[in-house]
Amino acid sequence: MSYLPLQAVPLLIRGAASSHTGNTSDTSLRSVTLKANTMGPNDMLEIWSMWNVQANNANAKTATIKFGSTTYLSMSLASTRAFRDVCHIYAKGATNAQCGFSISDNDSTGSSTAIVTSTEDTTTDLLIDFRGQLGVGSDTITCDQVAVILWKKS
Amino acid sequence: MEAFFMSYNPQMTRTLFTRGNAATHTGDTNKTSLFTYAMKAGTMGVNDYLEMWMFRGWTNSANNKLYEVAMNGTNIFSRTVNTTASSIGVVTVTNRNSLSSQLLFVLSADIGLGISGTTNSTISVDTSVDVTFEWFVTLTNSSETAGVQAVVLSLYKAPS
Repeated sequence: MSYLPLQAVPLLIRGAASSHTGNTSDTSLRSVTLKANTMGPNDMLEIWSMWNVQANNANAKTATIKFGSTTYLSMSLASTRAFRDVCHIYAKGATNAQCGFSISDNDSTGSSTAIVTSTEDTTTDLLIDFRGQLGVGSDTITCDQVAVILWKKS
Repeated sequence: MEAFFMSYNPQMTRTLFTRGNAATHTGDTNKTSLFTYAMKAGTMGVNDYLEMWMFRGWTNSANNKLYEVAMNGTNIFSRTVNTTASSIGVVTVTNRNSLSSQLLFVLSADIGLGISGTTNSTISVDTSVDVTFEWFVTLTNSSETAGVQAVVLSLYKAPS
């Protein structure tokens, strides 16, 4: 039996906060470009992110992670303070088919959210985008930390 | 727009420490060190990221059992358990563009994922010097047992 060793390749790690306040526009807080052909047909992206909202109130605050044009995380942060997510995006044996999942429950891995599928073309540059949107512009949403790790098999 | 990685370097990721044989404690109510790991000075860079998976098991009873993990004396995990029996969770520590400032999720988070009513934590540990990680348990009933079954501590180097 032969095997190819897995390699974990950090694409982006940031522990310094990036915040948004002042309006209700969907706003990019941090992003990284997955360069064309970096992700192979059997590779996996592991995306860790840590979010914070300064006011624990009922106003809408939404944390989003987009992979190309596909939303892999959309998490309501109303009436809470912090959120820790890990999102996995698996290439499904092709460079234009993926599936994945994010956390969307209270300190657990259970979720009623369906698995996300996408048809992003990883032979082209793709943006991995961490976005925040407020329901009330005077609130604040912060992307505190991100780590984007590419697990290479092929 | 952040930088992106252009070439593969296995040194970008390192497993610093693994332990698969359980370390447990019983017999007294003292805060007890189960094991330690010493990370060499400068191993962790200014934007690097530590990920620790930990599998814990304890006596299922109403009596409290306190688990703590310290990084050079500063807790990066502190959780009291009682009427459950085991858990597996992740603790992450990210240097905040500094060798002596780190960001954590909520210290007492069980699994280490999801939402919390408590804000993210910051600590100040100097990673330019040797750093000791230490795993502790404290029992309130000395006839009970609490332990750590397994640990994997990995370092992810931030691309420049």
